[in-house]
Amino acid sequence: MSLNEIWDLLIGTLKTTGFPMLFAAGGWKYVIMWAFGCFFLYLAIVKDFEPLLLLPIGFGIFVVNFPNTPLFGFAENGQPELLMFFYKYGILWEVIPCLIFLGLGAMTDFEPLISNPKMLLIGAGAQLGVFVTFTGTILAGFTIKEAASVGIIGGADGPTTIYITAKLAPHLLSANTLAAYSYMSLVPVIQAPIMRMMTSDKERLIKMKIGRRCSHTELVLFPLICGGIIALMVPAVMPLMGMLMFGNLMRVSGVVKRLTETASNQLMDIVTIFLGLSVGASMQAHVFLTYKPMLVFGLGLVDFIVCTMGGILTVKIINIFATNKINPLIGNSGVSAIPMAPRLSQLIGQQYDKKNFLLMHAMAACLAGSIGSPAAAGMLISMFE
Amino acid sequence: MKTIKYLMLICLMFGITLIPMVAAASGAPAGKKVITPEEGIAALEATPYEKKFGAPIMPGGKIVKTEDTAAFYEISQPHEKVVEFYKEVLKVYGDEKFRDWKDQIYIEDLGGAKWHSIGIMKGDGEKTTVKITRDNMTWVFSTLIIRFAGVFFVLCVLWVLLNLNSFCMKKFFPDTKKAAAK
Repeated sequence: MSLNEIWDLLIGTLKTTGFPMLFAAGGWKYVIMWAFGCFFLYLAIVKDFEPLLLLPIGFGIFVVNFPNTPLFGFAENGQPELLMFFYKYGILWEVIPCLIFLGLGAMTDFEPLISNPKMLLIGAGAQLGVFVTFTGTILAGFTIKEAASVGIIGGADGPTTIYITAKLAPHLLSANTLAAYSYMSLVPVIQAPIMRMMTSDKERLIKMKIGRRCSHTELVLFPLICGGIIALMVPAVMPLMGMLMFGNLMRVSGVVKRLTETASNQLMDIVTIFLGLSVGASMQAHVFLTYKPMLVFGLGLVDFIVCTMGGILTVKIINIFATNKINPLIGNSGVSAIPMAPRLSQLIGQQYDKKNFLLMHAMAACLAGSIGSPAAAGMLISMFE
Repeated sequence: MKTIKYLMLICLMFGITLIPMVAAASGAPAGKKVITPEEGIAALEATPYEKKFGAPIMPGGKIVKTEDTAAFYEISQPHEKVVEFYKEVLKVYGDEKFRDWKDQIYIEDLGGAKWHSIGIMKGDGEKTTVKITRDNMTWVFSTLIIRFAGVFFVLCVLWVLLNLNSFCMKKFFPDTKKAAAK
């Protein structure tokens, strides 16, 4: 072997490593993305903010932003690389959001909402943020479809955000999804001051009546009624809502316990791993470090804040008319951040009165949000697709 | 009594959603100069049309009227030819919706173009009139209102049906009461 051959071999090997690209022009972008990834890992591991999602997302961001890694592209024969495979078939084909809704349905008890249907109005009121975001997004130079996809972030509904963005603005998928999940995990930080600011001491002490118990028949009828209405009125979102209602039917019927357990545990866990990794991986430096994803984060935050305010405001309006007053502290749960938002309502409520239990009422509002948010998304899809 | 209160609440909610629509529909914002058709035509002829509205215009088209948010031009071509022209030209945009209405083919932009819609009028024989509307916030607000009101509507229907369901359950299935008593 001649010296030239050895030299060529060494240079060739060096070129396959990440170093040449890292030190080339634009290499700094990788470093920024590592910091981003590590920040999410920090939130998950140290701060314990939504670790089930932020940990795989953070790692996805970190690992994909190394040059020459065969993770998020296509091989020479056109075959998708590992994380691209998850992304393409799981997210772009909209399988994962629907499976998450299936698991969510199997885990969720809709009884608080069925026994107190007026909570549905809170879920609708919490869609207020879209007014600000949609307009702001358009004024910032986004297209109508992009604005629609960004507008849904405030509902704090990750799967719906993925679903609508994959349909209307797939290039914003990573930014929108990350914004939605980030704000979901930051519920205590973002919502708590708004809740305190918008409620008086007297309002925070309102005790709500415990809802009635529903019969088995009523529980079984709910997914059929709700699914039927959504299918008739906003069919575009039926893949999501259909799965949610199917999951819930499995749960309440009580005859398929094994399937319910699988959907709510193992399947949910598997899907969450794929979702987190592929969403994180979609945040490649050259895609993410542009002005639009950055704006999405800013506008998404405004959206989330206004949605929270919308929920609280709706409760206050209902209270003008209702004889049985609602504690406005549950208004924040109109966004569908389950279970963080209801947990926060309970926590703040108990800071003022240890004997005030708001959790189940807040859960009802949150469930209303989880129906309202896909309904809103369905309307946008039918308008713009 | 309670039902009346809730009906009033729903009306109030819808009323709130109508406020931005009224604001948007109340015309040009204060202080904004309203251009007369003559001034508009003069301005259009002084600058390339595409620069003014960002919409393509068929070669040979002659502007006949212009408003603050819209412009009309006529072309000595049959309707079908004009539609064909726009189908070809607008391929580059990619986010256009073509709708066949009774009096016109209505092309709506859902992308980032400066124009909002192009209406190709029907029934002028060898002469076709085209209306180009500039992007405007009225449409954005209307979209939002439909969405917001729509969500309320869907959830209100659900609310009504759930109440009905709960009423039937209480009436026909006494086990609900027993469960409540527990």
